[in-house]
Amino acid sequence: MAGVRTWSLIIAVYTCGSALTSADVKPNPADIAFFESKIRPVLVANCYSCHSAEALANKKLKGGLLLDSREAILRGGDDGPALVPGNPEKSALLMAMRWQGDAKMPPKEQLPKTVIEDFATWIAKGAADPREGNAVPVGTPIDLAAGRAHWAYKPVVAPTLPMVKDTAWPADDLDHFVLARIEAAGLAPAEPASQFELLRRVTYALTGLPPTAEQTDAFLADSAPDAYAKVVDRLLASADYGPHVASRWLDGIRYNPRNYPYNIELYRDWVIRAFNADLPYDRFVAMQFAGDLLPATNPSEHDDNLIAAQVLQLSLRECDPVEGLMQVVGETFLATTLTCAKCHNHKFDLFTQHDYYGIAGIFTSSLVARNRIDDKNLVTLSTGLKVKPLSEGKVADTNLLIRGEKDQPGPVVPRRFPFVLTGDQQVPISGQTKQSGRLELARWIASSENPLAARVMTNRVWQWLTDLPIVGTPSDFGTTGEAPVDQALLDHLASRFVARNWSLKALTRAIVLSSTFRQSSRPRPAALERDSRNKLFSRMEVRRLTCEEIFDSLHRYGAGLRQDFPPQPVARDTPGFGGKKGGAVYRAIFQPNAGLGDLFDGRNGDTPTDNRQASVQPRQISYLIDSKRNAMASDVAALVIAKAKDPDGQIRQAYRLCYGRDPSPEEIIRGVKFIASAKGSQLAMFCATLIGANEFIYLR
Amino acid sequence: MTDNHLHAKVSRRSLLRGAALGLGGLGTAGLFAHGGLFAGEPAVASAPITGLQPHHAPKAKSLIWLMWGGGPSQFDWITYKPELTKNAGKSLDLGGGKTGKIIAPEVSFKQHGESGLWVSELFPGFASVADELCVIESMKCDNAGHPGAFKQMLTGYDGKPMPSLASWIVYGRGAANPNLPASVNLMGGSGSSGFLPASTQGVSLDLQAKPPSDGSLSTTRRMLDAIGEHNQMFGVNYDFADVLSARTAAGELGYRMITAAPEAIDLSKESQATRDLYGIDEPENFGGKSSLEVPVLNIGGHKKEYAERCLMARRLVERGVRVVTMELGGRRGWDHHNHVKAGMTINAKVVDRAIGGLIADLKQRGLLQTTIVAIGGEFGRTPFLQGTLGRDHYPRAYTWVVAGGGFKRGFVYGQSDELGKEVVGDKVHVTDLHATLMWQLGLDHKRLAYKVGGTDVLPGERFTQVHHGMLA
Repeated sequence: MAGVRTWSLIIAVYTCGSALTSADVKPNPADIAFFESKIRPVLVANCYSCHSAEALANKKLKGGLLLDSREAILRGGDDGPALVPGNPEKSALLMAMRWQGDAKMPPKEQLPKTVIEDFATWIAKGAADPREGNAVPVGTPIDLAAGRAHWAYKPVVAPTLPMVKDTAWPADDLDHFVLARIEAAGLAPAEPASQFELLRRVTYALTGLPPTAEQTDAFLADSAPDAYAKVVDRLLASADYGPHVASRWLDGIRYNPRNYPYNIELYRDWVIRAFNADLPYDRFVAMQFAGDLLPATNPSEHDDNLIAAQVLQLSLRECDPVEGLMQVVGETFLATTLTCAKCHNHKFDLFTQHDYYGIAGIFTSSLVARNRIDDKNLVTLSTGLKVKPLSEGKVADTNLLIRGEKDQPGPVVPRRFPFVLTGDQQVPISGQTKQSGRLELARWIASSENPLAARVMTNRVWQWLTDLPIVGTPSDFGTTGEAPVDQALLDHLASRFVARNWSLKALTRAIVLSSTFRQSSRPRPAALERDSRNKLFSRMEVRRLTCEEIFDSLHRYGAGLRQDFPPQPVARDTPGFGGKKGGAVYRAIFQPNAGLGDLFDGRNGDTPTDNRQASVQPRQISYLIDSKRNAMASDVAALVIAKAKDPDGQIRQAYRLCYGRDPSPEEIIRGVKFIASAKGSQLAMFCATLIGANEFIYLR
Repeated sequence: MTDNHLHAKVSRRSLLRGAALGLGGLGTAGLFAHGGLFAGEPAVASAPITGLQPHHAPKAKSLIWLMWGGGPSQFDWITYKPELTKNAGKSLDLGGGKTGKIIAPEVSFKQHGESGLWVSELFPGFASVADELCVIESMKCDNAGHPGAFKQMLTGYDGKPMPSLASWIVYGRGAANPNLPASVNLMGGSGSSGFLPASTQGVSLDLQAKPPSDGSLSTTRRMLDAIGEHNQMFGVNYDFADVLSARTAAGELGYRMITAAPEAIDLSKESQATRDLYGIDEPENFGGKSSLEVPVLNIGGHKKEYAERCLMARRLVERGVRVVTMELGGRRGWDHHNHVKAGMTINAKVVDRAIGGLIADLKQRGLLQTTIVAIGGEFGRTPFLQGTLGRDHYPRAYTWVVAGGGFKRGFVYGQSDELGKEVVGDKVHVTDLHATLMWQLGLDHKRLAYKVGGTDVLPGERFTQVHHGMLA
């Protein structure tokens, strides 16, 4: 049953929403003094270990009950309010302390009678409690310090390399962290993947495409010590890298052209070019938040600045465009659930409404907040294409809205960044600039002062490459998210990321060259037993290809995949879309719904997402083997026939084209039997079986 | 890569596991057993496939799960709170210095049926089957954001990726018809199988598929046999990766579905009277989005589709499908932060008649006794105002409606206070609802365990309980 607890994340807790806030009674100083001397120390010493925000963060919270703020204590836990001010006899807290009901607290030993009497007295006199908790804007040093103690909000400090027993195993510094944990668990890493598996894995990981049989032959024949590194560098330099990585980035942006007007595809194309050029991540962020405010030395740079910032238009169609923007800022860039603080103070992450409106004010000070979906006021780029304009608007701090209601303005909130991330000594935006603050926001988000940016992006890159994130909730690093399985590893990589000038390619290169990445996906028996969920990274994961990878893999035959970008705006009859026979097609990222998104778990374009499902559906296989809907099998067959006339040779070519390898003798025998045993286009049918099988869409 | 090819053998374990879950394996296993690898004979699974033994005698066989994503307003649907109208405009104490402004539902309620159940005027379809409904007005979830609450409604948890209720049920009960998936997702988002075998996942059907010719059937058989061979090679030493065997099983199920699925969802044999019961051919006459008085989030445009799929749901449970899920609204369709009445009016026209028709149809065919229909959103909405005539998300007290499967009829279970602000009796946590649904299907959430990393993991929380008070 112990497992039940580990899976029970949060009980009866509102992480977001219209929950209730604390009473506003002003207690007299004597009652406060009584609380401070007689009550608080007892709570801290005896209760907080299971009933506090920290316990929650450490997944040790019991009964859904927090006792570390007045609001929490009044709200109570699973069994209702912990106390009724003025009425000790009706207060569950007292019952529990007296060991009178089901709950006997503290569980190990009853507190002294005098202490229990103190609590009775305290409750009878109204339970004065100055602990504001989440009920007021964060400002009380104790609360802020507690909030900032959360792992993700502490500064990133490069940890020292741990000692490992098997000093020959690490190929990269990161391997020390991985190996140290594996060894501490009494386990060993998996065997290295075969060269064949490794080449296939890394080629998909970096380009979203499989290696060709010729590339595979060359790699297997290359005995130079740096053969693998050469492959990695070739792949990182390939133009195929950008479209692949961009498709994952766009998940977090909830990119969906249907939801955006005005050549938003230009933003997608810019992301691809930015990844290919290895634009430093801090610059990548800055252009998106404040491209229009950045200097440009030539028209094309000016265009790019404006195009990158089109991401700010992403929620143009929504009731509250600023909220949509805040969601992306919060979840994708910062891995916080900042939008929860729109209507009330965030319950567990010490994000306050002031924090929400502090950033929201930056956007309301920009034109983006007032743009509408219409054809008016478009701005023309140097290429002649038009996009929505971006500029500063009426710069001003904004009101917070009570419960998020438009007609209930609260106090004006200075534009600033969340205290829990910056400390409370921050100079408000209005003290720094006359502008909206977008530039400052962009610079702060991707700066080494922000503990989140580097960690969040590092975790995403790790996840994209290995399918197994270090933090299991990549868009929630808050106290309601999961803790990293290995924070030292994360911080090591994050600090390297920053030190290497925020280079995504450098980070990627380090990961794929590591011994960790080069492990087999077959666990050792002991690891399967004791690390069944692979929290130690004691193997690589079996991974299904994404819908983009499947589409691209299917369409690389026949006329092949186009290398260029589709023209903008796309005319209905532009060739290269869809999987129709004849003519090269654009890569999946350019296709509506990524080509096969409906079938193979494509992007949800309505909300930011941080992972892809890999569902198993009968329809997927029927699609892959249905020659009416997918021309690939006959394309492969045509290539096969062009290369070989004899059945053995044809089967060999079919395997090489589909799987990038030679078939085993047994496979040749079976294949030959298959193509000889039926009428019609047996060869195409056989190729379809190769495409429909696991080896085509799963990586080992 | 090649070392083991000559020594490949079928993983009996994975095949049997797949078979037990109604997701195949049988066909392949049969073929391998008698060595007919290229013979082309169709595999026939003759006996119904079952999951684990039920923990007690099941009252229900199937669940139809109708989710309204976005959070429908219980106050405009089926939770009648006259005190809201009496106190409209007054300030509502939200537990301290904070207040909200009470807003009256802009719809009228009437009592219906012998039970006298209160139903809003927007939902005549629900009203017509009032005596079949068990209204749970004391629902509670832990998260007021769409993603978390939505996930929790499907899985019981708002955080970690856990198996969906549907997957737990399939894991526990398996399929009753080997030729159809145990769990079918007919519309919208459904939960994943989490750590449960991938074969417990809901399956979507190709609604355009037509019955095949004999020739294409035997061709497909040959191809699937070859695929089974390829997969077997690829799966050597990968027994632990059950997704690989699940995919072979999915191919087999797909084969059996080639004939069974088009028949199961073919509405052409249904009488006009049945079509009318669901309102399939009734035009969607709210005048289209352009004629709306106010811009409001809604699910307009889906009426015919929704009604057809409700009828398909009946046909599927009739044929032994264990769980049918339909979700309409995403996170937005029912998310009425503004103009709740306008939004609910449109949405009711899309779903109401179809659901009323589904319940009536199940009843007249004697299927309602063994089929549970469960309807609701990821949370409800506040008794107090938000935005312009709107209501905010509300996880503290909201409503689900359950019909059939041995639930009480014409009954309101649990209680929220007069303003619908707090649950005051029989709080039903999301996991309680799940546990109670599973109970009727013969499963005890305290015994339905699955081993994860050496530990038994159960659905639900430690406090989760079956609410026998809502059961007949």
